[in-house]
Amino acid sequence: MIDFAILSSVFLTLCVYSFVYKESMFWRFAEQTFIGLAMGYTFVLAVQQIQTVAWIPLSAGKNYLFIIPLILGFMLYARFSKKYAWISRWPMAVLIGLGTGIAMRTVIEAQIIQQISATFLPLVAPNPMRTFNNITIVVMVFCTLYFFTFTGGTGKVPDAVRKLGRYTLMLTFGAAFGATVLTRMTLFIGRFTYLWGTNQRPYLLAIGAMMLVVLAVYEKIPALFKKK
Amino acid sequence: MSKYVIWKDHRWVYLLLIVVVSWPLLSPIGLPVPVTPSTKMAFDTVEKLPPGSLVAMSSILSGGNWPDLGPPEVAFVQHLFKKKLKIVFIGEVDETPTITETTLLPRINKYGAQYGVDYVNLGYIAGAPDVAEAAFATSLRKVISVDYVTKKPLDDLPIMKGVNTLADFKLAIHIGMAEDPVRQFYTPFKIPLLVGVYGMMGPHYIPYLDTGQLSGMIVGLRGAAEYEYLVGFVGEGLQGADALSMTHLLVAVFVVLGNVYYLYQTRDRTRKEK
Repeated sequence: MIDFAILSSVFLTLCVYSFVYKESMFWRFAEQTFIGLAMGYTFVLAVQQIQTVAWIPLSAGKNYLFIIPLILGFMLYARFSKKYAWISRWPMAVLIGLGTGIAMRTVIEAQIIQQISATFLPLVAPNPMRTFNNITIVVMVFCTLYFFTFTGGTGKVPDAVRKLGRYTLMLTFGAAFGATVLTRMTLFIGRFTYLWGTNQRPYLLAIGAMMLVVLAVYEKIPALFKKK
Repeated sequence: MSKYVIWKDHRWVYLLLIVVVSWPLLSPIGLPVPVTPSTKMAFDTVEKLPPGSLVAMSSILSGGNWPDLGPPEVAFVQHLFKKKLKIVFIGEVDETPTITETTLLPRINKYGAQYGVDYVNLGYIAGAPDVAEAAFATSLRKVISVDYVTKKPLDDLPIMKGVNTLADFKLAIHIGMAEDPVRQFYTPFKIPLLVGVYGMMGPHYIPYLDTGQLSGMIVGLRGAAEYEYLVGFVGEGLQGADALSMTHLLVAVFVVLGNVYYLYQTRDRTRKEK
């Protein structure tokens, strides 16, 4: 008995990974299928969300205030008219203002005050490793901040401090880049683990073999026509 | 030297990567999984909670990020059920409630937990990240009227009796990024906050552990493997740990080889110019 859920997931995964060999019809099929499905799925979920959160309480007479976000939501579609596009700026302003306001109310404490106070560390700690870490944190924070002071003096010492700040930034970016590459590996491992699962393995081998044959023939066809 | 550089064609690199990933999955090596302090802190925070404590579990889980965020959430949820804690799931991405029901919960041993009594899925809250989290934390009944699975009003669910804000929870766990829950969950309510984050974001969030804003953190698949080891079950984390270590090693080897080749090229060019 063929399991169509596994069949489609294995086939589409292989279609996407065929891109690492070269762009092919399989890749383009997967790309366009994904975009279409994602758009349809998101649209249905959005309609459901509006229905559950706003329309049902509104039609039941429980909360008439939900009419405001519904009207604001419809105003966004004014973007499609050149004449009335200005109307869409109002809901956009509400969205941006609300989002920024809610984020900003705690950002000062959460991401400025707390983070600054965490760098006020004792330079001598009972543990030698902790002492080394504390000194490193304090020196690197100071040098990185000094790197961004563009009006300071020049000379051997300020330049050396700036250089250390630059190295600190490079270390940070290097760590971030390394972690990003390895996260991509995780995604690949996750997909590979799924493909090699007991239920998926026969589909992987069968579809993989068929795709290889099709790709090989597909590549040869233009060459055959050229010879003629 | 350049004639030996086979990886000039990137497809050789991909082939090598497939071999390196598949080898430990086909024949596990059993490389050690040392537990990092952030994972241990997360585990200890959950361990300290008395049975029956209410835990908020918000997430941005979706099909695309499952390999990196799924295993940390599975590890957390498995531990919470094992400890007999009560869980309230919310989704900050429209896919999350469906993924929670169809992919996450079926692979968890629930230790007899009952829906509506010991755990509940409240569905998706629009406006992520900050607006949705602030709405849930300060006035969840205004944004959620019924649960996602049974569509029952919140008052009809025993787990939701008397729960109005995040202050009614003993612990918040967020799967996704760490900045927004620190801003919306920890800062206003000062309840312990744990996160499961993408592997690439781990280094960025270490300062939040130092300040105490985070009580613990699971970093991607690797962190999930560590947590699974602590909880005592084998999930996707431990299954993929060998493959992850091997790919890390491969990337490190490529970085060294790339630098050696770069230095050789630079020296060769300088010599020719002279």
